[in-house]
Amino acid sequence: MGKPLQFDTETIILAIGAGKTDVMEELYARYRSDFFRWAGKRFDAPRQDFEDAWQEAVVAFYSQVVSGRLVALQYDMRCWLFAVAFRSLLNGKRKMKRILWKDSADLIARSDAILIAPHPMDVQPEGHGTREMLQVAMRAMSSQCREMLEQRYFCEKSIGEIQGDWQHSSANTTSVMLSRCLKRLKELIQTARKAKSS
Amino acid sequence: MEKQELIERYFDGTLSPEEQADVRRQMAGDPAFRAEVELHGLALAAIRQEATARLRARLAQKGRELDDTATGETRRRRWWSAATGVLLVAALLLAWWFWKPAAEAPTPQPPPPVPEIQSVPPVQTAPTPAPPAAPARPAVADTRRLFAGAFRPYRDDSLDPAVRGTREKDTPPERIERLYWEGDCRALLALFDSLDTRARNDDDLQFRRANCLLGLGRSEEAANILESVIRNDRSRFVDQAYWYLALAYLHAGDLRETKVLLRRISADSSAARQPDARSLLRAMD
Repeated sequence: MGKPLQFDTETIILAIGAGKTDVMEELYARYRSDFFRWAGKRFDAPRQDFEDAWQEAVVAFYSQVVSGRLVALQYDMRCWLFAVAFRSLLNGKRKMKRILWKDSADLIARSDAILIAPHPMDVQPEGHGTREMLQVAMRAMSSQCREMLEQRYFCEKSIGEIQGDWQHSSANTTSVMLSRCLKRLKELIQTARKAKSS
Repeated sequence: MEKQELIERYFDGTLSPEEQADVRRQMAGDPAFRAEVELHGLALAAIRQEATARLRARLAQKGRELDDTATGETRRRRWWSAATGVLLVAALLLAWWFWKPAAEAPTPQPPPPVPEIQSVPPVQTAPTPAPPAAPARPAVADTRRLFAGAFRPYRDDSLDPAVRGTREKDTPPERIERLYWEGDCRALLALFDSLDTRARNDDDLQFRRANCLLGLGRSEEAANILESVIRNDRSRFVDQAYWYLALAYLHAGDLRETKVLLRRISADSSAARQPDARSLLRAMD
């Protein structure tokens, strides 16, 4: 088993909520080799699949925390992450050779416990080329706009927090800049959609 | 409540059930409103998709660092195992040599007669043919001349800091952008080392840094960064990065890799640098 985290679950959740994203690398690194060993006993799969599943679990943890859908864990963090990664492997590789061992993470993953609560309004980009189209639109934005939009709508920071990060003179300035950036992004998406459909 | 605020709160999930129902009614009856709601949803999806990709890229980078460390440790362990094995075998051989039974010792033999040494006149040998000449390699000066003819730090109008909105004070990433635009590469490189992790993981900034390093002749460092920018595929300069990576290889004297990359760019009709790549390939040939 990996070394225990320097921080307990509650502290990590608070740190992520406060925008300290460096803790994610710490979390990712602490249990990674442990997970690879654990998953290697259950799945006959390339190492890259384990890597993808592990990243997905850590990102899912982050998303759940910043959106306020995860404020406390019913299980310990290692179990939660293993269970989410395990589910990701199961979903992606249904035909994969699988050997089930019984331990707490197995039980959590196969229980009816809701590990990840989906946001009711999350839009999943569907349709051929939609993801690429959105990517192109985002990358055509200035790095400043991209960063601010991500802080607001991915990290779910408040206007006041963003104002502090960017040292704006007022919350109104931040709000106006965010609106402009979002408007610009929508224009780029519309342009890309028209180009795609023509 | 304004329409935009209503849409934002709809996606936030902070509307009351009545307000949510009202939004759905409006969407059903007003195609323009529905289109606006859908566009807002797509914009949020774009932001989250990109942010997730960036976070995953950060984690992947951390994973590579962990793997490199683990590989280094494994190599060290293997080296020590091999060294220990060799020492053990040597010790056993020495022990056997000193402790072998006397009976096994070879009987001393009289020394063989020493043949009479005759004076031999020096043989007139034919002049040794010179070894075949190595294939001609362009001199370093040639590659540097080609490099100097082809390299210009990347610039386009979107990099101009004046194009951005006004702000009270530049953030460190913005200072990097400004220093790049002003061509102050030494200050840029000095400042880069003090950036936080998030800014250092910004591949658009890394692309500028690589250009600066290349301009200062630090082609190997530049190549490492550009390879990473291409591999991560999250910068808007990825297309340009191929060209600058080819130039970094050229500066470093790696002509084979340079040509491989240039041919790749030349073959890609959508590559912005296709004409430059073709021209440089012709010059190299």
